[in-house]
Amino acid sequence: MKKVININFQGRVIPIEEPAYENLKKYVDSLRIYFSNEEGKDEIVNDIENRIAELFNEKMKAGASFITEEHVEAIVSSIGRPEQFDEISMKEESSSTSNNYTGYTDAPRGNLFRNSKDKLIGGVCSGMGAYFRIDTSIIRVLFVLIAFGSFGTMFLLYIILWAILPSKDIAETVVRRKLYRDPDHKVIGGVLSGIAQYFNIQVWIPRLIFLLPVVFGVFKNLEWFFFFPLFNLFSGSLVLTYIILWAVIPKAVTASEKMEMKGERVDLESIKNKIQDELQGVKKNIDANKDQWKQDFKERATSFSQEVKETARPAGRGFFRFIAAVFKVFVFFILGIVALVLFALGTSAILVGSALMPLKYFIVNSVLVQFYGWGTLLLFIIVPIVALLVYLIRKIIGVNSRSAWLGWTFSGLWILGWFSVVMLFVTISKEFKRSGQVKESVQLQQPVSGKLKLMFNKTAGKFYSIDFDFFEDNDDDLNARVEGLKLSKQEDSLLLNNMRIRLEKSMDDSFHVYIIKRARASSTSDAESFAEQINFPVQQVDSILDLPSGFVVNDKTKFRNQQVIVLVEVPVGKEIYIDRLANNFNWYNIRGGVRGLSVDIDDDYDEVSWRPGRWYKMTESGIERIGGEDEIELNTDDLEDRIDRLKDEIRKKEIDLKSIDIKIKDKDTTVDMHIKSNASNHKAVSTEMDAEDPSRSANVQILFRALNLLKLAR
Amino acid sequence: MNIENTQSQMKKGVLEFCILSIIRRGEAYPSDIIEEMKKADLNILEGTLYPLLTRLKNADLLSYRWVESPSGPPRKYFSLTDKGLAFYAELDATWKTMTAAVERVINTKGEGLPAGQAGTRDEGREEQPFTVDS
Repeated sequence: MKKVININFQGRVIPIEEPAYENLKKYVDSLRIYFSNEEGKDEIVNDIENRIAELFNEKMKAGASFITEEHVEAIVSSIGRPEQFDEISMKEESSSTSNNYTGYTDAPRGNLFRNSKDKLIGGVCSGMGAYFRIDTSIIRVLFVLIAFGSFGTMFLLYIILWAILPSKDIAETVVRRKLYRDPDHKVIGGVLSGIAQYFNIQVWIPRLIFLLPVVFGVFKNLEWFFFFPLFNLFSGSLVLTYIILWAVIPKAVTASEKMEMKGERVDLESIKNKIQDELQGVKKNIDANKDQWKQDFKERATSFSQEVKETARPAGRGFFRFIAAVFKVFVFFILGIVALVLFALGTSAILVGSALMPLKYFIVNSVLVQFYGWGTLLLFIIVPIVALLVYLIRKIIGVNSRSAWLGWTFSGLWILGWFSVVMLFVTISKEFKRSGQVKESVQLQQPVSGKLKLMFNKTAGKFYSIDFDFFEDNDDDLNARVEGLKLSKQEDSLLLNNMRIRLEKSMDDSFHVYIIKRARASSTSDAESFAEQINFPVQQVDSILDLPSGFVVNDKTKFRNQQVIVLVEVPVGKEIYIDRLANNFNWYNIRGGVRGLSVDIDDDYDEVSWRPGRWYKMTESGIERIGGEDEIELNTDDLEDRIDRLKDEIRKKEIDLKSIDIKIKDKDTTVDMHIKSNASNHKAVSTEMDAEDPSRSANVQILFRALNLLKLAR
Repeated sequence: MNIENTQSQMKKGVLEFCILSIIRRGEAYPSDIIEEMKKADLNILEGTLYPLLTRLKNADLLSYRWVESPSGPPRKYFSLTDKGLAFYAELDATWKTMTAAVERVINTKGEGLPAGQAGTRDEGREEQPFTVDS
């Protein structure tokens, strides 16, 4: 069942089948285009239409109730199609409806020639293409690939062939399907689209294959944060390959070329259909397409009368065009890499954020801040990553949606994300704006000996340090550890050792010890109350003052940059000793203010006048070391350091030790190490070495020997 | 070289002349003209004829009038103008001269040969290789 419509044709109402009408319209349009340069073109077309109307009339008179497709077809063939107009046939040839132009001459293979008609350099590959009946572009690509692989010896072969082979004008032969670049579906140069068309596969497949090595190359170097994956050999050569393919493979410009690219039958009908498809696709540029159509028609007209299918191609690419192409490819690759960098940064931001997640309860005290926190995470960090991924995937697959709503949505969400970030920082920094301080004095029993020793004990409970172990490879570059912050097992409390010891001269002849606690909050009174909540018990046993080596905050006391200063006033003539553990204290200030949050970290415990682990005597002029130059100095600090590091090393290498006990006795030179390990092939190793020479280097040597033993024990 | 190309060129040359001669014999409209040509085994397409007629009309060699038709739309009937007649006379002379010359050229044995020499002839033409008619 077909739709029949009424048209006003040459002043008459004619009922006609809808498809017949379409064909008629196309035909008349084709006439208009054909005669567009003729003087009196309107008259000519009108005359022809008139004739058509006459013929319609005859048909109707003959009994048809409407004009059918067959009628139109017959009429069109009797009047003729534009490309046939210049022909006059002498004999009783009836012009056929579809002039099947077979460009596929069965030319004999003949000998191997150079093709002078289709040459990029010397026409060698083109000649070989004709001889082997393979598409020239394929031969060129192969040639280039082999040339690169053989480090240029193939070029020599090319020159030899150039010299040897005679050149000939080889007409186009059998090639049915040619490798072209597809300009309609191109992202950069259309190379991969063309390849996809030739092999009849989805366009995203070659794109993915090309991009995968680049992506992997980028991610492999992720942890260095220096992105030069182009120097990564594999992906670099891919870029080069792409550029070469771009230069070598021709672009499918005309309709017939585009059809060759897809392997469709190149004849009038299919060309016409193809052009019509294109016209319907691009409704905006009607004029441009009309010119294209006219041009195609003209081309076809000339080609029919000359039996030449291909128009001459420019012999070589312009040098500047090539450079522009190279530049464009590089820009695209670099943009892609930048996008990947952003992606990587975003993911690491997420990782960092998730590692710090347990801390949020200590800072956050309101729903609003939590809300901002989540908002930041989702909108600010995740949204751009997702948007980027989506964009990349769409480009690779080749989806071409014109809707901009996706871009707008993502942008809007990201702006909200910015808002969340700002608010997050504002609210958090508010919590650290003001500082408050509480000073407590310690009930001290004056030591009998006149010497006071400050020792630090371990806090009860198990605490673990927070570290970011991103890549499971004991790579020190990216393993960070938050110093001074240890998290309890249940993740409900933090152990801080934000502490300082201050020694001052006492006004009288007694020791005085004060504990100064500090904290920050949005108001001074809040800060003071937070400071007060710091739990810092002090105990005294004779001349030893026992202090905690850290203090705990939980989600009730919150993290508010709590600090503890132990102020010891030493009277003149009395001695003071601070335990070495004081070296481990951290000191940092987190200040919130108008400009936001600022964090000062004081890594070096560089008190000017004294160091922990030594005895000092307070004199009139200040604190002084006890012991002169001739005292054997073990420089135990360094050793302590090394011991600490040794312990770290052992822990990292996951040596399961029962116990390790290194004792360095004061003014002594014994290193006493007991290592017992769980592993079956380890035995208890116990070394007691006695060095005659009490110099520092000997001790270090001993220690290193012990370390080596340890390594063996693994 | 393409033989059809050459043949087509040859035909194109004489097309105008043929059309004009048909119209000269009597007022004709395009379908008529095509019929006549067909009778002479010269097939041309309407799409070829129409632009040609228009060109000739624009050159003032032809004129036309509309004639109402009982069956279908009105028709254009073409006839030669005075200028057209003169034009035709010129072409006629040219044709006769040319054919004579061509005959002479293709018969390589030279002048003075008796008629009846083998050679290509257009169909329906008298065998008068060397006569130059007025």
